[in-house]
Amino acid sequence: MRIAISGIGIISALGAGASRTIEALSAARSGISSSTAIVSSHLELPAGEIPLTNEQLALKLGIDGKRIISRTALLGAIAASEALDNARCGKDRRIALISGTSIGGMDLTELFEKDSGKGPFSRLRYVRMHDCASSTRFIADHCGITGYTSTISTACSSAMNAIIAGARLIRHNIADTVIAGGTDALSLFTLNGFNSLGILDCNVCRPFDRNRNGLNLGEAAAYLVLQREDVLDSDPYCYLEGWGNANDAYHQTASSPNGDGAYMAMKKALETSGLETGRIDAIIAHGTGTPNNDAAETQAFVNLFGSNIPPFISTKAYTGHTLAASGSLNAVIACLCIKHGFLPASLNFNNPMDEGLPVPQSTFNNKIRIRNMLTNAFGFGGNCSSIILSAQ
Amino acid sequence: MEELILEFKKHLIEELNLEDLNPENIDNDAPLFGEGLGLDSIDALEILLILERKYGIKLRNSADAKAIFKSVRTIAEYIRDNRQK
Amino acid sequence: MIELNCYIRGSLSSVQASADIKKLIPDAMLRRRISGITREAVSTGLECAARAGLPLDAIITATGWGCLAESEKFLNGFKESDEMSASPSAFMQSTFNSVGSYLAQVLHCHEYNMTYVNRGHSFEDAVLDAAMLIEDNEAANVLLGSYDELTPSQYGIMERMGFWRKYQSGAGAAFMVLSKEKGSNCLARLSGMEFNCENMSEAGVAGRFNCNMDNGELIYINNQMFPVASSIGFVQAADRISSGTGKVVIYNEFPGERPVISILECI
Repeated sequence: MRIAISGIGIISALGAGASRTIEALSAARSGISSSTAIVSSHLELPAGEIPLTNEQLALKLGIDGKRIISRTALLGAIAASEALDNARCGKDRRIALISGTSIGGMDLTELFEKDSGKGPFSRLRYVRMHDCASSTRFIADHCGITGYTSTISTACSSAMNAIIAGARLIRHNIADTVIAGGTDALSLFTLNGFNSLGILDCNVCRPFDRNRNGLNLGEAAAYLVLQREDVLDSDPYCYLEGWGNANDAYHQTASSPNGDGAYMAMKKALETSGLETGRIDAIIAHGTGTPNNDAAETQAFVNLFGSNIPPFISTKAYTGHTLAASGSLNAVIACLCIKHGFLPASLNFNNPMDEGLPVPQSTFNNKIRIRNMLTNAFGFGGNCSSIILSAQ
Repeated sequence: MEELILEFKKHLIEELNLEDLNPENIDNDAPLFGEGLGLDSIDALEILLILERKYGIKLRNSADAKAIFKSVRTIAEYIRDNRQK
Repeated sequence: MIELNCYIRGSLSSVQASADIKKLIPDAMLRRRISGITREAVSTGLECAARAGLPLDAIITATGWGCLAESEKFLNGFKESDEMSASPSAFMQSTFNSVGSYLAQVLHCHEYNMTYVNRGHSFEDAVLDAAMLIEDNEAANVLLGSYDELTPSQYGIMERMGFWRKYQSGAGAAFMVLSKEKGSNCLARLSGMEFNCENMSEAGVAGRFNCNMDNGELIYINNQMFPVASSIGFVQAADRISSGTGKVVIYNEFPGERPVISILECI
């Protein structure tokens, strides 16, 4: 039984919706700005911020802008409802929702903490949405989903794992349609967290470049509609043919030098798809721009593909690293690449890394025919996941 | 100097959760990272915070850090020469 | 009802756990950052795995609220320093998947690794995932568990929200090993789960599943405002079945959520 991707929804620093995303990718236009405006921080760091306030996001959803709803939930509802509309899903479908997030309602919890000078008068409405599942519940309610819902948090591989979990629900006939993806808003918590780890670049990130110096944070939500092949309501973008989940089991935050977890996740994805390495036409890498990730990931490419590494790119210099959403963000972009026959340029690449390591594709290619595309998402805690999306 | 070394070791044990060690077990001249004590990149960042919070030293240039962070003694010497508090 | 067929071959709650973490994790450098609820969960998981004595090929963890104490520590740290400095260790430990990650590191398990964070049903989501993984032959023995802590500030917030007038509080960790084969140490068989059930009374559940209440055949959870409650229920159910009860139905109605029912049977 094949699992089709019949709908996609996305909101990131590149804009809301698939067409804005394609426009920016085609024009090699980054959405990263020199500092954050909406998340007001003392840290002057570039970030992929969505230039809409929570009130504006709420209005986009047609709900009262004065309601206190976490930004993670608002972004998630925008992208998930776009995906559902895009798939033109019949009302009688058994629809499930699996959402990944790493930050949940932390943006509101920060306001609660700010409020805490007021002691017992700090406003409880700010912590009501703290837990991760509350964003999933909000999205489900907004989209009218009454079936199975779940929330996954495996750091930056969360959304990719949501897609993998969604595929399993369909295979086991627990749902025939699954909205799967992830959402993460920018927050002071993550800005300060990644800053404390010393892995934020104070310039726009340079994935796979010898002089890369860290990542930029971003915010996004991206969802895919997975459907069993025989219940499709529209022409699918592509099929989910392979998936792999593995653990690096090396360190809480650092990747093993050899990229063992990355290698295993990609290899498992190839195995479930039944494809040989030579059949992969392009890769959207995790490619964060940190010295550690990019070295480990390219080493894993070498170990898996030998000297025939397919063209690969990173999208991080367009959107920033959107954490829990990054896996489904790349998966949505992969759907667009397969359907429209293009591969974006990997931005800000100038100098190859060490000898023997491959270089990303740094020019826009709109003549490529992609039959099978591999997409990666790796997270803290060694969580590594990969999927393979294939044309009809 | 010996006093400063002891004090720094106590901070190290506290902030890096080296609960199984006491100051006598830490060799003043052994490498802190990789071989020797076996600290990692997160510990390096925590040591930067110790220097900042306890001694008022802001060490921003990571090229210098490598030489300074060689051993407990090299760090203590750096603290002695650069401390603001 | 989703029909399932796999075997519980180890179960342990943090209350039952007794092994010394120094024996479970001999590497002091790996052990040193594991503290608080992470320590409780990791040591319960490792002891559960050691008792089952099976080669593990997947690790699935579940938590409703995650590592709250570390999150609070980090949040307060950067607020107090006005975003000038913050401890990377606290940030690193605050992630929801840190327990699953430490288990993978200690057990050298490079295989499937997942973390569910779905309030009071996180553990059931993990159980369903494990059972499907086993049915797909992607794993033969899955270590899965749930953990949650209750920090003073969270207790205070939930008190202000009025929860403790209606519900019980709690915290802890519980782990199981779920397997494809019965083996010689099987405690119970997982035969089915049902998500998104209607709310039912205790007598209603007992009637539907023909449970003998005197025999402990129903574990009815409806006023426990702590997500780890149902995983502790699973451990109790496995214990009861291994000491002679024919089946146990676990009804988990987390406040504000649709109930989930799980059925364990003797082998």
